[in-house]
Amino acid sequence: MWQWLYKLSSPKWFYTISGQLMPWLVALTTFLLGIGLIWGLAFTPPDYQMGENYRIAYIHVPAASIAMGCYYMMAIMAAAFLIWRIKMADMVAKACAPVGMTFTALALFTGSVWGIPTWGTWWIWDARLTSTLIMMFLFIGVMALRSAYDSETAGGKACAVLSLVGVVNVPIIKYSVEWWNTLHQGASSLSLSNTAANPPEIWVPAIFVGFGLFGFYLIAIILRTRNEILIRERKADWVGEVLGAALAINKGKA
Amino acid sequence: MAAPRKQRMAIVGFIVAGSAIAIGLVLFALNEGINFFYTPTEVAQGAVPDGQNFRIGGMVKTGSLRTGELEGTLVEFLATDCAQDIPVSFTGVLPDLFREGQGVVADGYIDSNGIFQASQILAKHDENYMSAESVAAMEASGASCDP
Amino acid sequence: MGSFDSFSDFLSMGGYAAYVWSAYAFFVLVLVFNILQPVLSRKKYLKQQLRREQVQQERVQAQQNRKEMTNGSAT
Repeated sequence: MWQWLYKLSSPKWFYTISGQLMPWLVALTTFLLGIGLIWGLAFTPPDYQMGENYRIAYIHVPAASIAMGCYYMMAIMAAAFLIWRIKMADMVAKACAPVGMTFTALALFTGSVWGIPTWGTWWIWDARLTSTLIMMFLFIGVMALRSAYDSETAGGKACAVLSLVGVVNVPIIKYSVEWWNTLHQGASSLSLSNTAANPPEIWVPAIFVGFGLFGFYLIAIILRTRNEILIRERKADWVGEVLGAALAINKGKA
Repeated sequence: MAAPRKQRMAIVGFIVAGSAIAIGLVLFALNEGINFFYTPTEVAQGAVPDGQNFRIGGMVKTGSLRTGELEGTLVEFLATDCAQDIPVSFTGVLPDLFREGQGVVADGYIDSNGIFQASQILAKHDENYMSAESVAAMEASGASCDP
Repeated sequence: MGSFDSFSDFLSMGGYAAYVWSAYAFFVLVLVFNILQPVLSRKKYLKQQLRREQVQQERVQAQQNRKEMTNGSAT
């Protein structure tokens, strides 16, 4: 495990392994997302109160939890970069910010749209919604901070500190619905029985979408990280070879 | 482990722990203010100063709802947390999920007659997703007052 | 089809079409953005590198030509 992580911290290893992994990841993600979305959109029974509107939850819930997971990942990479000076960790952290930002935006948008008919409002300043909005601003702030630096290392360090300062917000998002009165409902406790609340016929498709979207999240992170490797390691011999091969294909097209 | 590495690890720990403590203290100080609404019990205990605008949250007491004929006319109901009831009066359009036995959050003030005059009504959804069949099965086993 | 009687029933989402479909449209937008943006920036970067390589080649070529010219005038 440690050995594997150690190898992944080498840009060349990461580039090769992620390249080999990609087709499998794409296939698995398409499969899981396809099944989960069709199942959730067309085959699960409507909710007894919200009718068909609750189908938004199939994307809202996984988008929100992956956005939070993405923030944790960015913070862990930030710590690894600060402590061990692992360049790979900074590249992954850089990839996390825009992906996490779009997933948070997705969670906020789908929640708002769901809230209009359900709550009677698209936005309120309760603890859950406010802390989620703060997470989106943190992602945007990290991106802005990095673009303000010319030096790759200095920018990476500044972003790492900001990421670590903001990481407290994630458990606040998670437990806001328990610690305070909020308009947002708490986490659903899933039931294995079909005669109780949250039966498997409703949550099983959500599991498919959840893992599918997680696969997509990994793909998005890997794509950005690979680009970053090609740019930052362009002086390395092996990147020269990779670029040469890619350029030869491009030339052939032109 | 090398000494500078240990030092950097301590700095990272300090950043995370420091910001966690700082934000924890802020949240602790704001604790009441972060609550989105007061429960009827808190209102009965006098947690809210008179004449102030605030939100109450509870359940629409079953059997207490009286609505006008037309949509957008006067609505009256009791908001309850099973211990205390507060009469609420509202004129306007209600959200889809507003119904008896369901969670509700109302924004407004308590008038001189002790009636909560709401300017906005929001429905609070619970964390349960159910199909019509499972509801029938649940209802057969008996419902409870649990806001 | 599944829990709906017809395809138009499915599209109308029990009256919640505007909400459900706009949420799913934004979802698709996020998916497309997160794939397209890195793919396009990779292409842009490769094109940049290609141009850099060409400029370098032209410079080498020009230098060679100059050398040949001076050599030619010397003989």
